[in-house]
Amino acid sequence: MLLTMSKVEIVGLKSLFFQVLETLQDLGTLHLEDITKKKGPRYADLIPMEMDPALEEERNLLQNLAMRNNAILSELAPPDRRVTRAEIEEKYRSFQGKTLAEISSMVEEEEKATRELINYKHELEVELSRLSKYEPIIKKVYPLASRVTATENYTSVALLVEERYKQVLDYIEKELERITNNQCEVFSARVDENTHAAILVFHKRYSEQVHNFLATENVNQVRLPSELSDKPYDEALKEIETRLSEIPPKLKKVREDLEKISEDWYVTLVALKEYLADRIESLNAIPKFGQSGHVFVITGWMPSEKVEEARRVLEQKFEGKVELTEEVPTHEELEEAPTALKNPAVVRPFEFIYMLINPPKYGHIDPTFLVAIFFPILFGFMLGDMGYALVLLGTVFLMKRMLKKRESRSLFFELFANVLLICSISSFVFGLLYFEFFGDLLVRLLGWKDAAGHMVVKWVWGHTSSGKPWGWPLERIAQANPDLFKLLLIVVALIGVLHMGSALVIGLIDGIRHHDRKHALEKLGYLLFVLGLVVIFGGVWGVKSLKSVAMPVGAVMAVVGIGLAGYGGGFGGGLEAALTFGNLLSYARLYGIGLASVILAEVANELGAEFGGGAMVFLGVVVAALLHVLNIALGVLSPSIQSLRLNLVESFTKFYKESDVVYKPFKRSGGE
Amino acid sequence: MELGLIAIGAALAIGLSALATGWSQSKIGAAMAGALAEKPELAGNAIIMIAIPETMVVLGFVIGFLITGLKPGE
Repeated sequence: MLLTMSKVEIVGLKSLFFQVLETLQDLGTLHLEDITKKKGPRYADLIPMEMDPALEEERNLLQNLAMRNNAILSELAPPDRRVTRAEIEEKYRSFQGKTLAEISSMVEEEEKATRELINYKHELEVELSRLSKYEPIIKKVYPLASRVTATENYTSVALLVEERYKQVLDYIEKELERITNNQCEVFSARVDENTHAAILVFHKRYSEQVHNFLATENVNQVRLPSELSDKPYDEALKEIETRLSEIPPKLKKVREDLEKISEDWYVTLVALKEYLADRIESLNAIPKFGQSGHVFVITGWMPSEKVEEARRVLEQKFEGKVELTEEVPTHEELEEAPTALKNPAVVRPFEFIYMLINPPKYGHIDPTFLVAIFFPILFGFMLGDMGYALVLLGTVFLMKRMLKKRESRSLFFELFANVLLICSISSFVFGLLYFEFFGDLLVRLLGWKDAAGHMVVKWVWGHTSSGKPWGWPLERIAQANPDLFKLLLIVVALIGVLHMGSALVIGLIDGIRHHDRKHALEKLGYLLFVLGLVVIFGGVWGVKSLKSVAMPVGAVMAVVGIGLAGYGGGFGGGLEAALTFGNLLSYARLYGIGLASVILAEVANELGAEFGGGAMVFLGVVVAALLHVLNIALGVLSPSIQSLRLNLVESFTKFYKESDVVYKPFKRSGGE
Repeated sequence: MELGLIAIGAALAIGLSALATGWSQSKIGAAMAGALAEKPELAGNAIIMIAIPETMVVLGFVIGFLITGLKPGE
């Protein structure tokens, strides 16, 4: 359901403005409105508040401090001990009375304690990464370098050439001889499967020409770090190896030292990060407020149940110098009211749908309860397998445990994990109805199959028109019993009627509540059309004795429905009513996808069984298990998407109005 | 003979509608992939858009089912 919101106006003395702002942020219930966008006589005398240079300077300083504080925080890992929210809250409160100078000196103190260590850590990390890149290259050149005798007047360049371009080395050698007047030597060898290495030794006086030539040829030169460039390759390699072995213990020591610092500073850093972010946010909100002479005006929306608390806190804290009043919103203002949801714990997970579309508009009906009823039914109808349901249940529990351990959790996944939990229960119930456990595994083991390979009905609920029994277990692969096939299709169509019917009833109620007669008539028309179809098909396939009455009655209802929808929604409305038949047929996917899932499960079991007994049993189980895993993955993905689609396309399109404004209270968010 | 034609009819109903769905989904999928690169928040809409043409194959399935229900000579 949607929370009832109240439009509120807070007026107070300008001298108290920042204290009021801090109090409102602490309360965390007011959805701020931008007063500069308000029109009408009520707002005509108000001047929008502006950021004066002093405030601008304060914001810049806060942003600078936040940046420096966050830079330190990003270098420190959380301490091993568990940091509680209460600790952070206590620290946060300790900042509230402090001046900017005091906070600034605190950040300086943090920096003093950490800067040297952080810089040293960076240097070590950069060196480690740099030298690690050189090492494999020099190792390739090393076998050749040992053949080169270093002399004072000669210098060398190492090259790496891909195996397929090795002929370029002959060309380079010829050019080198030409440039250096034969005062050169080229050593080359294949150093691995794809690489040829070469060392060019030449007189130093030709160094510039040789390097210019190599630059134009675009060959891969091995360059040593600048501090090692004068050394022969073997010495350089040794030095790199020595340094590479020295860095990790140093790095470990630095990290340990930083961990110790984290023990002392982490809570302060986190609390300061949140405090600074909140202060910046409250300064950013200033241009939304209004002022006149000596008072400030803040307007916004608040859940009605929170108004009294806010009024009491403001009254107690400011002794009547700040007043909160509830306004009666105009029709236009109601259009801009923010939406806040409040659903019971069982229904709440289904709010995940509002992460895909905007939440419902304020003043309309929140359909989360409808999704909570139908999503699991649609999902369970399709997956319907006890074994798969148990696997899904286990996976969800595992997923929830993993999510619990993670620091930052996605709300979508948190909600959707609970949705899948509920869906696994409904899949188990439908699985029991179909008596499917990893397809027909249990049926095979119990021998509940007849000679033709079909399930034996253990509990007869009735007989089809061709006289065949049906009941429990309800077999989904019903080739032997086409009437059962038809029955299952009728069941899915009825689920569709209930699902779409509920949506249309919501649309009808919505229309009546908002005194929108045409909207209500349009929805009534759709509903009448759907019910007309139910009457017609009920006569044809259900109570055949009433067929002669049902047909004309149903047809009249359908035609009147189209007429009403046309009257309420124009030509589009009439057309849409007729197309509702297509929407109903769309629910056949419930049966189609379920059928594909159960057939794949049976194929998995059949393939597993084909391996026979003895030593091959293990192989058979592995093959069947692999196919079942694939089927479970498909069986969870497909019903999720299809249930979502049926809710959003077949149901929501009948009544749903999206909100443009979501309730975002002005609160301490810590920059999250 | 007629049984064979019924089977072919059912196969065409589901087969052609499946092809149509696949073709539409390929077009929508490519467009939505492009849109998601620019606006990842459209992921929800993308799922719905891609699932919309599946109605065709579902209708094909229903028609296929109705055709298989016919008896030769009817």
